[in-house]
Amino acid sequence: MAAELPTVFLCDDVPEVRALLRFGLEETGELRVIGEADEPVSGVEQAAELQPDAVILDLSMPLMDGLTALPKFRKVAPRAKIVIFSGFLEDSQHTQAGDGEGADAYMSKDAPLDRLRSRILELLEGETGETG
Amino acid sequence: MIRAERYDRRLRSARLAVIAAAAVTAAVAGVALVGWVLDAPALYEFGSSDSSTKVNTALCLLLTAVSLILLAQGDPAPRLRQGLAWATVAIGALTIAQYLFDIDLGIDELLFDDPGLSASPDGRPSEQTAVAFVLLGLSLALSTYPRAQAVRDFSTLIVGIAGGVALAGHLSDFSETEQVRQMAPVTAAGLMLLGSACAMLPRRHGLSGIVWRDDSGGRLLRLLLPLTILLPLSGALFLGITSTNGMVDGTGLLATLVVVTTIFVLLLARLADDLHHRDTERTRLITELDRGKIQLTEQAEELSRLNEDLGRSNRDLEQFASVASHDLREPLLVIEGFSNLLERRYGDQFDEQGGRFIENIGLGVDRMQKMIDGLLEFSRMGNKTLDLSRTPVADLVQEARDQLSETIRRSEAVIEVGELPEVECEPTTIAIVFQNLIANAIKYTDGRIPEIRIGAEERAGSWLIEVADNGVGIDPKFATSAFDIFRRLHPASVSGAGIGLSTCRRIIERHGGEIWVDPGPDGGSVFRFTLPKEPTVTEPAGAVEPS
Repeated sequence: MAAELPTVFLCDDVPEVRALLRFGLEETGELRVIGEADEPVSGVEQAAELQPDAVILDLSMPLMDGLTALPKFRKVAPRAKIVIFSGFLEDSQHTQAGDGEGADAYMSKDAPLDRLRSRILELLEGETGETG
Repeated sequence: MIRAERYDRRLRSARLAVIAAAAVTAAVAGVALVGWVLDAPALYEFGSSDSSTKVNTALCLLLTAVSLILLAQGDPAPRLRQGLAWATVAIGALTIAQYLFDIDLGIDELLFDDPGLSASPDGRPSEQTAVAFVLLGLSLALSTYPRAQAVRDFSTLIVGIAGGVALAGHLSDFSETEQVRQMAPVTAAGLMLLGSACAMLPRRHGLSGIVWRDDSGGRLLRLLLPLTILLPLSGALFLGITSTNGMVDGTGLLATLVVVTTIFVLLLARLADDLHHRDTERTRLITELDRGKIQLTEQAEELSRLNEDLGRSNRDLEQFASVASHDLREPLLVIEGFSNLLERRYGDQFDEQGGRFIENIGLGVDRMQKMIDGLLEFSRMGNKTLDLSRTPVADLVQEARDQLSETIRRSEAVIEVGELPEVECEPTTIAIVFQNLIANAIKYTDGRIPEIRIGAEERAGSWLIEVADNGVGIDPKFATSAFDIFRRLHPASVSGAGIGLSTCRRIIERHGGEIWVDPGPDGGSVFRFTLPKEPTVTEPAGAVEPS
């Protein structure tokens, strides 16, 4: 049963944020976090191997920022929905830039975890709907 | 430097010319004297037997020439120079006395016997020559007295010009110049040389002080002086030559000409001196102006440096506020997220106290969240240019009321709005000011129903707008610090971040206005702020346009 759950990969440099996301997203038993990275380089490597259904990507990270990392994730995991999870509502510049770079969704860190979870599920269902 | 050198060289040349003129005169006078000693008329008549150079004339020429040479060489023996000059004056004066009183003091042929072919009494210099020597002698005797400068200039010029005229009379065939011709040609030439040399000897004051100067006055005088003297005289002589029928009184005309020309020269000198003073004043002003300019430039540089510092520090502060608020938010979200998870998943396992703990975490997080929001808003107030437009203040109050509609409804606050003007302002931020002030008025009450009065008053160059409430009021000693960032004047049980008023101040100050708080007449507080009618937009120092 658990094996059929949609999988999520987390990429954020703050461990507490990853922990919170892991608990928050898995809370309802609809999603499974299959891996996490604290910076994009190893994140891209892992995502290539794990082929998650969704990637949650922070924008401000050391070594490489999220926007630079985004196309690399796309390349190694073309099936994955990529959700930028970063900044705050005021950062409209980021929103636009994130959209422009082809993220599937942009979620502010202000947003409640429930909303993030349902947005991911929505994206994945849309995928199934299109293909199925 | 080059100017000064040129000036020095000119002075040296002038002094040399003076010495040369005096030396030539002295030599000729010496020859004449030798002629008298050796009884050789050829040496003192110089080809003109009807007006020979008299003994005393030759003597006076020699005395004054030596006196002038001494003076021109830096006056090494003032007593000798004065002695020679006074001797000349004495001879001249006695000669005049002989003419005036028709007496013979025996000075004319004291040394030598004059064979006597000339018009004047035997061996006696003419009246004009005598007067010339008195004037010349006086000038040389009094040469170092600055107060005698006008007399000196006048006398020497008269002598020089008169000598010139007499010489010209001899050279031309002017029938009316018998009087003039009484002066021997050699005497006339000598007087012309000595008079003009004495007048032009470089001095600190008077005509010769001006004529050699290296300024526009000096240049003007050097250019016009020869013309001023030569033009009228040559004109008159020409006139004299062409009217040989005696219609023109040559002597009177020439005497008048000499005096008028002299006066004219002196007036010209005065003009040149005036020009010199103007030049000096102008140079002084230009120097001062230059100094002022340099000072101004330095001050401007200092100001721009300070402004740069201020701009940098402003940008740093804004960046700090912005970064701090972002970075503070993330851990706060983690705390909030986990405390929510904790409550949701384990809430039923907590006892009553555990539930309160969780609740307190939530309250702390809320307060922190508000502070961060306020900080972010505060930092954003300073980093963009004001977007001014003419707006009715009543609209802005209404916007604030709309924003606060729920709070107002719940508190049952009564808001009274008086007549409000239209002002030039940035509507969005001034609305925030009203929003903060109204929210404060509602927040800080003694449990009474809030009553808020908003009004305006016209002042000289600005509008005074006030928001009065019936709240707890602000202790006057905190009236200023109430606007400081994170300054809270009320217990934390009243929710507030301590940023609202500092944001208000920042907004009003950026509009060029002021904000303060006064105690209300019946308790409560009155917040007052001014908005200039024509705001001079104070840009945030060193602001950078958003890219």
